[in-house]
Amino acid sequence: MFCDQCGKPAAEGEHARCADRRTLEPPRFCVDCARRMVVQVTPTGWTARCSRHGELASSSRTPRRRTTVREFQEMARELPPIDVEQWRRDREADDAIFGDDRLDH
Amino acid sequence: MTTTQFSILDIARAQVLEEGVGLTQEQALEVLGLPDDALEPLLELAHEVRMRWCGPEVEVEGIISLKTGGCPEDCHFCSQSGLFDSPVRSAWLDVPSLVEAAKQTAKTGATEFCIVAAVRGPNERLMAQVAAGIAAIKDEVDINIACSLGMLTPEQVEQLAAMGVHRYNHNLETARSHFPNVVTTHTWEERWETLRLVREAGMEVCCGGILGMGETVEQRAEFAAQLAALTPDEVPLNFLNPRPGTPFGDLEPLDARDALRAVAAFRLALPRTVLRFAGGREITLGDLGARQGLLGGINAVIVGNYLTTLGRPAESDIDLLGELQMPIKALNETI
Repeated sequence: MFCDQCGKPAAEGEHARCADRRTLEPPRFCVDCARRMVVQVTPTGWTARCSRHGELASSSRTPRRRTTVREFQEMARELPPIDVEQWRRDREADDAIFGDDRLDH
Repeated sequence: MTTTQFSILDIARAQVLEEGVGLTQEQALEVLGLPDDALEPLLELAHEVRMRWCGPEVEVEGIISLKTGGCPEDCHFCSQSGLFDSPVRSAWLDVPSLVEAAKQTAKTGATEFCIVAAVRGPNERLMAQVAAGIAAIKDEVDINIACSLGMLTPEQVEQLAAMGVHRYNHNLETARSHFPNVVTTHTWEERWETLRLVREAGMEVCCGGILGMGETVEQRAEFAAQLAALTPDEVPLNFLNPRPGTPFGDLEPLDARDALRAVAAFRLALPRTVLRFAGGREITLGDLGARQGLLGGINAVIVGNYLTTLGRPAESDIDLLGELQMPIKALNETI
């Protein structure tokens, strides 16, 4: 992770000035790769685009963070249980149209 | 006539408030040298002058950067110069996004929208983009359009006037005597020439600068007098927000009391001019600055964000105007 204001590793060095600055500054560096971003400020917002990691907007100021495996597992537990028979029927219906896609077929 | 222990305030009351005659350079210097305990009566007088000669209306404006960064000039305060190691990267705004920004601005209640480009002067591509942008905005948004595109040729001035640009911004930035310490790639006189052309073409002249760039108090007074000699329709007052990577990146922001003294001094030197709070006020004056400025001579604000940095939310300033019972200047009305 990198500091979005100075582009240096977020966990190393002093970033107090960066934190102060953040209230009146859009992000300048990608937090994932430290590339300088193309920033467009508008009267009521901003966008910041990293050529590798895509675009952030003022509506999503919270820096992106990758979802952990544990969090994915917890999200999956929130989903309704799978109806196995329905899944099988859907798959057979797809196979009738697109052909069987099993590797060992 | 009210008398105070500070004779310059009595002089200003008689000369500026009663007669509408702005302070001279020497008088402005006296105002800038007033002690802290004179600040309150000074701001009150500046407010009275503003109310007397400009009225209670406040002109509200939004600004947008059409072309960001990569500028060949070396203005030492600017993060958009391509000559400095600044984190600001070049960007172009397309016409639909420009129209959207004008809509956002109009939604805040603003009646002015200023299109800005970080260039020495516009080339054909930029002029074409500006022409397309203005035409598209005029089709969809009811708002006055101003531009700030650097130094212009006489032909470009005519083209902008024909596009319907009602006001052109080109800041002298600082006193003539301090300018070579701020910019070396062009001169103060070149900027003055563009302002002369703009006035000749019938557009309103918007010209101000940035305070806190290492100028002396004497140079601040000199700058106020030089602006008064120009008689601009609008003076935007910025306060240096030191930008990382620029030669002025390590300067300390202006002291808040000095900033307010300067606001009042500029109002007293320019009693009939639109005096706009612009960039850096959040850094220099904090949240209370908007109120103190509006009660100390300011009668125009830039709301929302600036060109590359963020400002107070537009609604904070609009709410404040309501609280202070200062109406927003209506479209096509002159203060």
